[in-house]
Amino acid sequence: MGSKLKVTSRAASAIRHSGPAFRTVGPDAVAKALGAEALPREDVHGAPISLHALRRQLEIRVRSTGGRPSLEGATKIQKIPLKPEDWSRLEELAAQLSRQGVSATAGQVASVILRKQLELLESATAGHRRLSRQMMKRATRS
Amino acid sequence: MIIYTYIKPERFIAHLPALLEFLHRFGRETDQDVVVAELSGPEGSWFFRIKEYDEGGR
Repeated sequence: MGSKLKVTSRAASAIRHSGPAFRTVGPDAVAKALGAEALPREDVHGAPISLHALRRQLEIRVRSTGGRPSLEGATKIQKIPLKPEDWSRLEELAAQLSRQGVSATAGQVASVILRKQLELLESATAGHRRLSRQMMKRATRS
Repeated sequence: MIIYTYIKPERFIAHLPALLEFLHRFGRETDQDVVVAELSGPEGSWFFRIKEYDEGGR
């Protein structure tokens, strides 16, 4: 059996983009022009992760350190039971993202989706707790 | 209905009145409770929520 390869050379330094930066679009100006209310996405409870957000998270978090690119911060490798069709869908998503230039495995796609859903659940639970406290206060006052 | 598109900032800003016209007409004519446009960039993602629609050309 072969032994594990170890990369001993120095890691390459980060690439910095020094070209002109594109002008960013401020949310307040856009909201005013659209007759809309601007809300940070993280404040919108229950919003599902979009393919764009998924791609963006993977672009930010998948890092190459010499070996297979890994998902930053995802250090726990855990067996999670899945339906075969769900795994197939994750593989399709990974292939779709790969065609768009974002290289990620089906497991990494699953990890990002799972994290987002856990954050949503946490914020929804916090909202319910807040509402319960307010109702309890009102009930004790009357 | 979800449409994704990449934007060029100057052209996007120049076409905001047309986008306003489309989003409000869409909400009005299809009787939506809410119409949302999402804009994502390096600084994060924003939802633009429209609950009240203009009167259009009326």
